[in-house]
Amino acid sequence: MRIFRNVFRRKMRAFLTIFGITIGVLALVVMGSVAEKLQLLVDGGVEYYADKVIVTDGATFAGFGMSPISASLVEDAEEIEGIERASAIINFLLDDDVTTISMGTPPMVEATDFRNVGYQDFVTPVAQGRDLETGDEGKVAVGADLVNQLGAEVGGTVEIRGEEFEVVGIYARTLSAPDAAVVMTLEDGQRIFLETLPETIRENIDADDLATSIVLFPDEGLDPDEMTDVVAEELGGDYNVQGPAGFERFVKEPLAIFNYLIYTVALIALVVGTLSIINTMTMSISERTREIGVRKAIGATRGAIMRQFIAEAALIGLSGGLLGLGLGALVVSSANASDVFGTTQLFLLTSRLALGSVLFSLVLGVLAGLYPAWHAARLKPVQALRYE
Amino acid sequence: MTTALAINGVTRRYRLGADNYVHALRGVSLEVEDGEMVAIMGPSGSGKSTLMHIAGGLDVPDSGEAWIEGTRIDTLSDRKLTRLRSKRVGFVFQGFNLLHTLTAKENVALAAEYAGLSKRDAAQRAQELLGMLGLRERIGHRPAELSGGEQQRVAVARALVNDPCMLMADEPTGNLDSVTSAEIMDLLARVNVEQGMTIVLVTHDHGVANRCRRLVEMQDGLIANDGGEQGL
Ligand SMILES: Nc1ncnc2c1ncn2[C@@H]1O[C@H](COP(=O)(O)OP(=O)(O)OP(=O)(O)O)[C@@H](O)[C@H]1O
Ligand SMILES: [Mg+2]
Repeated sequence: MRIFRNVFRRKMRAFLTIFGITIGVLALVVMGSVAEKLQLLVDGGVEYYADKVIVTDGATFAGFGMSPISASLVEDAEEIEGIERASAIINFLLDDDVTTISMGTPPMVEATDFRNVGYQDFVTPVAQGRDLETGDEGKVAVGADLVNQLGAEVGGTVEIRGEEFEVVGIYARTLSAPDAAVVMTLEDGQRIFLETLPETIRENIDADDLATSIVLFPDEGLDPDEMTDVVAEELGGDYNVQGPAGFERFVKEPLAIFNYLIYTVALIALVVGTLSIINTMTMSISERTREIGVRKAIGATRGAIMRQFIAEAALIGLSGGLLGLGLGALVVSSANASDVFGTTQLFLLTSRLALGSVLFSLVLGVLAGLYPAWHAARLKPVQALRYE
Repeated sequence: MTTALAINGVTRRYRLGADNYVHALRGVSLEVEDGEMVAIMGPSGSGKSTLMHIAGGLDVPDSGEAWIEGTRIDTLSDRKLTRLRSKRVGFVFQGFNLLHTLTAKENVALAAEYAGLSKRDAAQRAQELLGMLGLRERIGHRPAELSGGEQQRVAVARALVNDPCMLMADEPTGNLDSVTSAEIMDLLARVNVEQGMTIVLVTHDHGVANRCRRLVEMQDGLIANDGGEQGL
């Protein structure tokens, strides 16, 4: 290909320029993969929270409760007009070692009383074995991201907070929070959770009455967000009562801003890369002034000269894009495989992100080539021929 | 005989500073008939190259007219002028001016592609022509791998690839030794005689000029002497 030969005439310069774009696309691919994954987590969260009202201790933030509240609230809540069902849940961190670096969602244990079954729309599909059921004390079902960390297999055992549990099932990958969760019965959860509490609190608490959140399912047709005031009033006490809107306000909107930031940083890197294409093309054209004169003398129209130089700039952009995508895919897959960022898969390289970044770098190449190419096409043949 | 080329009262000046101009051509008229082979001589800076560029449609005059085969070219749009130049005029330069990233064959074919031939037809035409000019063994070589004489023959092939009606050569032998110069002049003379190609060439070499039937001498932006048919 003649375009290749022209671009790589100055190998060092061509590679440096291509690397400029590569770095930009690498940033776009890696950071975009985080954004894509977080987006899925949030989409999963939106779906999970859509049909329920969550009650947590008043001291917790936005319904992400890990402080103890009374499991007997379930009965009180079901008394409330418009609430059809209530379920007690305990959430706690899988690892007691809080120093573990973890981005995305940290591995969690969810202990459930199964009262949500049949009421909750969000169901995690099972890949192997079966889902956990009432009476499965001493047993767990494991999320897809935790299989390797725990060495889980159906029928085998795993160790959680020093206790052995039999694995009855492994969940399918959902690319959202349940991937990093182990599900056990409320009884098992109450016992383990109690151990994690400070001694002074532990003495005053009955393990049977322990929960971290109460999930309420309103009657068919009622909007959970409109139930929060009623629930808060009826339950009294100091509780945090959140509907789906709370999740959107505290998680979805901040994430949208975070995503803009991520993409802005990557775009700035790409703009710098694009400027370096413009620079390279301008230098290349001034070095090749005589060549342009010769081409015009032997019949090249302005359009032909434009096309030639735009194609060269596009090739630089495209090469940088492909290289950046390749490196980015490498970074993303090795980061997902290692546990530097915790066990959850933090990156998700979607095909739209991959295709988008390469197309974008191609378009940037073309745009970067426009001005230098126009400048070249406008040269007068005689001037260009006399140019030394 | 029809007129291949007509220049009528052409002036061309270059602006150097605010009120400072170089008058490269001060009012030049010249007619060249079909099939002629004309040498233009004159001191350095007398305007020979400028005249040739205007006559071949590479440059436009400040005043006066330029015609190629009955078409007035000094008023054409850039696009039309480019088309006409690529089909009717072939250029050969002193410094060969081959594109050094392309092989001999690609250099020749490029001119045909610019004139609208498909890549395949252009490549085939280039191969035939280079073969005819004795460069069959050299078609895959880059300019850097060719001698000066071979490079100039490739340049002649490139000038001929679109079957132009006129060949313009600016000091085509200026970078060659006397033996190679003679070979290139043999080639040009052969093209002139066998194909009836009109040839206008600029030279400082009397030996080269003597191979042409007509000698035009320039001095200071004007034609000082138009020898008409030279007796050999
Ligand atoms: N682009 C330009 N800008 C300014 N002056 C120019 C330019 N091109 C040519 N000239 C001047 O115009 C005059 C004629 O130039 P031209 O190249 O036609 O001469 P020439 O007869 O071909 O000379 P040579 O034998 O050295 O090639 C010279 O004085 C030259 O310096
Ligand atoms: Mg000259």
